[in-house]
Amino acid sequence: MVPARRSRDHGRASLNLFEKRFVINTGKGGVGKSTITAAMALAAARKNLRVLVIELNTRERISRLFGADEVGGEISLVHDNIWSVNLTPEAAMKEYVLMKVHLETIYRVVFENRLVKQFLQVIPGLNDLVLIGKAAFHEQERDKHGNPRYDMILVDAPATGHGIFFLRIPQVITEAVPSSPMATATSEILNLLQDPDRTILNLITLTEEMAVNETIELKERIDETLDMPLGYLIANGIYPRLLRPQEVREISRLADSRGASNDLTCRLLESILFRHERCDLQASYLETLQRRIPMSLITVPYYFTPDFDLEVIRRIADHIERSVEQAVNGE
Amino acid sequence: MNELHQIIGDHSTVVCVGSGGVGKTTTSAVIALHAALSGRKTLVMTIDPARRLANSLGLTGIDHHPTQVQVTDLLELESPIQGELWAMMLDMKTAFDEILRRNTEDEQTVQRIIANPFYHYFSTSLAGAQEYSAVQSLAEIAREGQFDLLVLDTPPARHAYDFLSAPDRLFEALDNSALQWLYKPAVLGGKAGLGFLRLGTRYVRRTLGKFTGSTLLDDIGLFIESMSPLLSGVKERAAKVRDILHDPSTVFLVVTSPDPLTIGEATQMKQRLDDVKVKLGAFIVNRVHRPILRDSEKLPEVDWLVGQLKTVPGAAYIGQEHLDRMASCMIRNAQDIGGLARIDARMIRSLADSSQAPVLTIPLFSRDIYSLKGLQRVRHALFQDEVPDCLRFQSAGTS
Repeated sequence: MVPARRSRDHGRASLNLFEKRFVINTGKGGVGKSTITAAMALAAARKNLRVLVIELNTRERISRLFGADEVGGEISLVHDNIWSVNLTPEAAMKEYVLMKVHLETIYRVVFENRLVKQFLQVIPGLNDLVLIGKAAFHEQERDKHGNPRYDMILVDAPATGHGIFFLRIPQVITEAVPSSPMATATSEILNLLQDPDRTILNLITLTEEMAVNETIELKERIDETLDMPLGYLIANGIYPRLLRPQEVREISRLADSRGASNDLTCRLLESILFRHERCDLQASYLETLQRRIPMSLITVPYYFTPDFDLEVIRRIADHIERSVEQAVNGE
Repeated sequence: MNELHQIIGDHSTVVCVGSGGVGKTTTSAVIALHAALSGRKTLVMTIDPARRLANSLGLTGIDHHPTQVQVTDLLELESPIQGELWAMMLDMKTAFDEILRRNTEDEQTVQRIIANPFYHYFSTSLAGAQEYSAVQSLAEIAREGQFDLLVLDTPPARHAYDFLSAPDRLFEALDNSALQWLYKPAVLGGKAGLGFLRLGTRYVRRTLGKFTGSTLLDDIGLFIESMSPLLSGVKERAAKVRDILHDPSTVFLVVTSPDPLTIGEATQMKQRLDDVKVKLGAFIVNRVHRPILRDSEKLPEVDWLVGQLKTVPGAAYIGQEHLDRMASCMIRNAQDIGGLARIDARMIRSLADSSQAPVLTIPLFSRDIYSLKGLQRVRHALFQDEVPDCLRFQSAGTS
């Protein structure tokens, strides 16, 4: 359904993350999406961009990563140049309806009616639509001088299964009911989502079997159903190798000989071999990812620290910044 | 054998719940394998988008119907196993279509519903649809009574209640009076006391229409109307499912990884299971880093380790500089992995402290589980069964 030609056009779009206005990070739960998103925000903020990070109806993580208080539905400053908000469909819906019907009284009488509320709950995709609509609204938002209020909207989009629907809903509506007011509102969102100058969609994954397979599947579904400009494939949690291949072979030989008389030495030998086996496993998944998903790859190392603090976010931000520079220069 | 063996033995339905990516599918398969080896006719019902489980069970594919796994052959056992192992893949879309077909008289209606643009959305993404079809399939198979034990792998959930309340929520949604009002306004029009109706149905509809477009409302109305066959008998079906989940012969296992975030979610799931009064059998913590140092041990100095390495036959060929580097890498690695093991241990302890339920662990393996033999290794770790030499696995810090 998606013409290959258009995908190629997107392929030519700049990979300069820091020039985009609408950055969407998606991936399965537990792959470190929030961490990567926070690091991206930090990297952009250091370039003097004003960044709004949007979490979607989730357990809030961004504010905590920056050591700020929970922000909830109120846009709040969580770090220099970084604002954050956790959108809920209820709040977004109210805001949207009030924009349309203008009267708080009507809102209260009609939309806060128990039955209408229940009804809105079950309109397929409505919650998703108001969330993506609200995120898109902030891209359009201007200050009193007519300048964009934020330079970058960074959306931490829900885990894959749901993530794809969330991005697809504007399309479903414009296709299903092309001439409704909802479709009109939606087509603007769709324009933004498909604009390679403003928008970039990044996929975040771990190099583990499940995550890799689901990411491949997600990419397939994106190709089939979404016509969105793709950015980076970000593989998180890569164990740094400690030994050179030759050394691994030597250690493996020593361990196999079972000649170490000391028990602790045996365990240390086995443990470092174990790590390198996992490194090999990760490498094989990286290879699969690269083969199946032809996107610009950023690998983010695993940080062995007991406390996940701002320092780690800073290091990941450095890493992302360098990788984006390389990708842009390599274009 | 440990208490998990006992727990599984005492029940005829095991439901594995947990966050995504914690190894729920593998754990479900391992439990089913264990039960089959213990002599029971077992069916594992799984949701595995990657279809990897099929491969690990030696099947070219599994579909929505039970398929038998050739355990004896695959494990190269000398005598046939006592029980049987069967597997089936829950395919949400198929399950939903089947429910639709079972409750719809003519194929024409079925086709019309399936063609509706909202149906796909409903059947794959509507909150609760997945879970609903999973428990429906479970209820069907339980009713047929062909198996001694059913092991159900559930869709990933951040909260166990997504799964538990799904059937109720889904059908409350479809059955809700607001929707009925949409497609047959007369039903509610007559009832008094519905605040907004005093404003006039037409007014409300117009206001809503401003917002959604009236075509959309009509489309959804038509869709819901054509779905209405699905609604008949819904309450009875939901009640049956609830009965199974609350039956004394059903037990829930919460599968988690030692990651603090996931452990937090597991604790919440336990809370929720308690709230709705279903039985939690155990926590299973998967992918645990094993400690390298024993209780009172300290990390050695590089020089000491180099000295030790030199005593290993074959080390003589390795230059001093190389040995120094290798030894310091080994110590650095022990710090890295040891740190992870400490965090894991702390999380497992906090989980154990927060609950009466036993906490069992599965170590992190250096390779992924691709085969029935791999499942067998995990089984030995999980049930603390004696590990035959030929199946010994390598894992962090143990020999």
